[in-house]
Order: sequence, then structure tokens, then C-alpha cells
Amino acid sequence: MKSALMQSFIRMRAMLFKEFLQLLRDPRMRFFVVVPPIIQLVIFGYAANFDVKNASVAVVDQAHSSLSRRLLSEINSTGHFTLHYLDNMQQADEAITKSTVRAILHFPVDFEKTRAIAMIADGSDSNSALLVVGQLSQSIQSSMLMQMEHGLPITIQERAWFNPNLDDREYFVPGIIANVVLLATMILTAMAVVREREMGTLERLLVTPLARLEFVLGKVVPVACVGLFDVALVTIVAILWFKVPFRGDVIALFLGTILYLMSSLGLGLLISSFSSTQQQALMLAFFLLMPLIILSGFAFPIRNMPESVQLLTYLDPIRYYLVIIRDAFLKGGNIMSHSFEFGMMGLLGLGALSLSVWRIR
Amino acid sequence: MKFQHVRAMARKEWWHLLRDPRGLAMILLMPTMLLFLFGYAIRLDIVEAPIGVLQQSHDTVADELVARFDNSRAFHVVRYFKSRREIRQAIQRGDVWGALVVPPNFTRDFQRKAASLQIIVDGVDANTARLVRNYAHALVNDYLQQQGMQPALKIDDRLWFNEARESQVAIVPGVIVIVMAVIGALMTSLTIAREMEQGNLVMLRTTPLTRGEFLLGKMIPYYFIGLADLVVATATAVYIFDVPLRGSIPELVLVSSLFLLVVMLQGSLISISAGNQMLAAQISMLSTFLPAFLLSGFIFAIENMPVALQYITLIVPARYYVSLAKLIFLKGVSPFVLWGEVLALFIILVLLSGITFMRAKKLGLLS
Repeated sequence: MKSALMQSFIRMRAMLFKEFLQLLRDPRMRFFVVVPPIIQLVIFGYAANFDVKNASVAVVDQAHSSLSRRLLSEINSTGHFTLHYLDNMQQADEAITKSTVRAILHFPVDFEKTRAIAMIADGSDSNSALLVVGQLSQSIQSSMLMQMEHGLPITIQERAWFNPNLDDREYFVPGIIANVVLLATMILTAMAVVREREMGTLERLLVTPLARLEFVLGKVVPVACVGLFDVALVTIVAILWFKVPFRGDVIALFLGTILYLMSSLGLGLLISSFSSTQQQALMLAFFLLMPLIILSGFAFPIRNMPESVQLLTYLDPIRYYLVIIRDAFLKGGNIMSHSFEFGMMGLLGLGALSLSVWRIR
Repeated sequence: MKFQHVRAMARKEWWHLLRDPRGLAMILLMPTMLLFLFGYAIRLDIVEAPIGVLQQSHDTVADELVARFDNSRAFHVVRYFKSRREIRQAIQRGDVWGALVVPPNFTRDFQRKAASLQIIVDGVDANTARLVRNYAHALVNDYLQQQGMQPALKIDDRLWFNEARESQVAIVPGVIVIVMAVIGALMTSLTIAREMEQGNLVMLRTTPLTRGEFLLGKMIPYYFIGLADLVVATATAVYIFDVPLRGSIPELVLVSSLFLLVVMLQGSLISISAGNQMLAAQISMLSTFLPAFLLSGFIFAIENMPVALQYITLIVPARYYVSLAKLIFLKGVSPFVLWGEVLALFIILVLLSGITFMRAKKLGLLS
């Protein structure tokens, strides 16, 4: 007579074998485990960029004074803007409406006397508009200072720590890894369970001696392996391709990823317990994913959100994983300093997993 | 193609949708949820950002400058450091977003026009860092102007189409694009893949239904759901978030229909090629939702992307829809001002329908 533990092990092994087979049998599915995460990282690593470089600016210089010309040539020499000289405001208006330029710089006829410039930015793209307004004003003011005879009273030295060139990519790439992994594993888990339900094989599985926990583990472990594999793969690509530094601890990242996957798989299972078709499961997953991604601080800093929304972000596992993965890449802090993040991810993961074990029947 | 056949197919699909009221409610709530998230939860500007100060001289100019930072709308001084070591710790822990270092003998150096001020920002979040830096420069410039230390130059800056500088105004077209991409591509691709997975298509072979009728019938209900979402999104945007709708409604419906058709055809093509729902879901996520989110110019400006990627965005239909929807919502001009974009959507539509029918024929999908 074999012990109960041994029997459970044998059942689990059979379930795991079946699940791995089902997940990776289709060569297209194998392709989908490896290639899309890399494509996503590369494409979105290049796309995710808030900085405004070479912004097109329309210039309407009706003053034609030596000062306005000197200012414009200074601005041109910064290389941050591409200036398009237009004859009148009507043309500029048309250019900004068609989005061929991001901003208009207008030197009125009486510029020499009033020293007033009008600057108009395209607010239909508010982040770029804010940056363009800021950078243009800064360029104009410093060009103005250059025209002074007796030097600057204050020079400002800037230092950007941890990312001296203010490169967006270093900030976004770890975040993209977090999102790519969540997207892949959550949907995969949810749909894997619902598929069994849709095809009627779930009932058949549940009448076998397989315990509920064993079933859940059997579903979850293969996807978790895929998730871990994807994180490793994408991390290597990030380091080799994007040259993002890896200053932290591999063990911290590994531990964090396991805890993170617990939440992601738990959520996937929970979604599956609420849906009877794969279409429903996907909609539900999507409904959850959007707030999770947006509230995580991936692209929009949490500290900039209203307070009530900030409280909500404590329920978001990506939020904690981002701290850990960004630290692993950029800051290289101590593992122990993030015990709160590890703890919260563990708590959320366990919560989601146990809730789903209880709900799946 | 017989109208009767299409209607029968559409009716069946409609029943399939109605049987799941929770799912339907979710679809109709989606634009509102996204608008709330993008319009209320995120803020792109900085307001009262926590910064720290290391003040190594306590003379007039130094005190005045620090007070100016503290009283500004952009910053709020939360820490007074005693050493550089403390700055590093505070930034690493995220207690402050940046620090201002005022070196010793500041006023003396200032009068000799040789003062230097250091601004340290947490560069990890480069976008916020840039905003902090820009505001810090602006504050120092303001101070210099008021002291008469700088030739006065007044810059009157305005944001057209979004005078109040609120992010939700600029975000509405993007929200509509995401919702439509999800409904069009994800839902359509899954519903067709399901029929294939369950072998219903083999059964349908015995009926006179042709592949054109099948695809059209499948798409019609989702088209109307997409339009319903457009109405919900527009109503929420206009009545709850006070986003202006400056252009004409018929033109909005026309352009949206064009985009919806494109994404639904994309969904059909994906499902026919994938043949099962799991794969179809992964492909649609990768090829429709993520590009609509990241490559459409809705959050990240296309001009800033590397040139190769800019060419890739040319085949992302969401890109054209975002620019057209911005025109209609915010700029209040006809979408045909950008006729190139409308034409591009139309060309993609024609190409996609050709490819879809060829694929369907090759795979022997119905007759």
C-alpha cells in the first residue's frame, strides 16, 4: 500500500504531464511562448518614450528683429527642435490642426518693444505639450541669458541620479517585462481552465480521484514554468539588446517573480471560475488587466495619483513587482529593504490562489 | 450572398451574446471604466511634488529661493537635509523626487554673478525628472527676472484644444480606440475560433451558408456593440468628464465604423488562421490590443519612435483612427482634412478583406 502522499504525487505527475503536453503540443503555441514576449519587449521598448526629441515647431517671426533672429538661431542650435518658418498665423493654425507641428512660436511685430512672445502648444497630446512648453521656454530663457553682457548670476547644475541621461527606456523596460509576463500567464491560466469547462472535460476531471488542490496545482505549475522562462528570456534580451544595466540581485528577482506569478496565476484561476466560455474569460481578464496596468505605476507614477486612487494601488500586484524589478535593474538596492513588497505580493498571491481553489468546483 | 442567411447567422450570434448579460454589461461599462482610469487616476503634470533641500548657506537669496520652491504649485519641500548622504538615501527610498542643493556663501556669489545651484532629480522615472527639472529652471528664471537680474522676456504659453491642461481631454480618442480594438478584434476572433474548435463549421457545411454570409453574420452584432460603446464613451466623456465634442457626430460615426470594420476583419483573419481560441486570444492581444495601446500615438508620440518603428506604425489602423478622432473631438474640424489617414484606413480595409477571403478559401472554410 502506497502512502497517501505518494499517491497524490502520482496523480499530480499525471496531471502535470497532461498539462505540459496540452500547453506545448501545438508548435504554434510553443512559438507563442518564446517569440511574442521578445517582440513585445523590443517593439515596446522602442515605442515607450515620453521624451520629446526633434519636436517640430512652427515659427512666425513678424518682428524680424536682430534679437528674435538671434534667439531663434540659439534655439535651433540646441538641436531639440526642428523649426519651420511660416509667414503668418493662419498657416501656423493650419499646421497645428493637422498635427504637422507640436507648437507655434509667435514673435509679434512689436516684440522689440514689449518683449513678449506667444507660445502655443497642441494640447490634444497633453504630455508632449507640457514637455514642449517647458523645454521651449527653458531654451528661450537661456538663449536670452546668452545675450547678456555680464554672465549669469546663477548657473544651475543638473544631476539625474540612477539614470544620468534621463533615458526613458531604462525606466520602461523593466515595467514592460512585468506587463508582458502578467499578460501571458494570466490569460493562459484563465483560458486553460475554461477550455476544459467549455469542452466538458472539467467535469470528467473532477470525478477522478484528483483532489481540487491537485487539479489547481496541475494547471498552475506549467504556466508558472512558462512565466519564469519568459522572465529569464526577456531579462536576457533586455540586458543584451537594450543594454539596460542589471545592478541588483538575481535571487531577489527570482523570488519576486515567483511571488508575482502566484498573484497572476491566482487571478487567472479566479477569472476562470467566473466564466463559462473562453470569450467571457478573455473579456474579464481584459477588464482586470487595464486597471492593473494603469494603476501599477508602469507609465504613470503612483505618487502623482489622487489619494483615494493611491490606496487602490495597494491591491495591485504589479505595483510591488515593479519596485522589485526596477531595483534589480536600476538601483541595485538591498533585498531586505523590500520586505514589504515581497510580503504584499505573497499575501495577494496566496489570497487569490486560495480563493480560486475554493471557488473552482 | 443572401440577406436571409446573413440575418439568421447574425440572430444566432446575437442570442449567444444576450445569453450572457454580465458579459454584455462588462462590454458596455468598459469605456466608462477606462475613461475613469485615464481621466481621473493619472495625472501627467506634477503638482506639489515632494522635494528636499540641502541648504548650506542661510542668507537672503538662499532663503528666498528655497521659499519660492516651497510656495510654488509644482513643489513642496518635505525634507531639510544635513548631508549629501541623506539625499541619496531619501531619493533611493522614494521619499523625495528631487533635491535642491544651495552651496555655502550663496548670496556673496550671487552678487558676484558666480553662484551655482544644484538640482538633483531621481532619474529612474525620466519623464517626471524632466518635468521637475523644467519647473525648477522656470522658478529660478522667475526669481532672476523679479530681481531685475535678467532682461525681461515674457512668454505667454497656451495649450490649444485643451486650455485647462487636463489629461482626460486628450485621452478620450485613445480610450475609444482601445475599446473598439478589444471588441472588434478580441471578441470577433474568439467567436469564430470557437465555432472552429467545436467543429460547428463542419456542421454548417451541410447548410447552404457561404463563407461570406458566415463572416458577415458573425460581425454584424459586434459592429452594433462597438457603436453602442462609442455612444457610451462619448456620452461619458461629454457629460461626466466635460470633454468637448467639437466636430460633427455623423463624421465621428462614419470614421468609427470604418475603423470597427477594419479591426473586425483583423479579428476574423486571426481566428481563421489560429483555429483555436487560446491561440486566437494570444495573437489578437499581440497584434491588435497592444499596438492600439502603444503604437497608435495615444500615449507615446509616434515622432519620437525610431524610424523603423515609425514605418511599422503605418500598418497599425489604430494610429489613423487616433489622429482622426482627435480632429473630430478636440480640434472640431472635418476628418477629411487628413484625407490621407481616411484613405489609409480604407486601403487597409480592402486589403484585409481580400486576404481574409483568400485565407478562408484556402482553408476550405465553408463553400
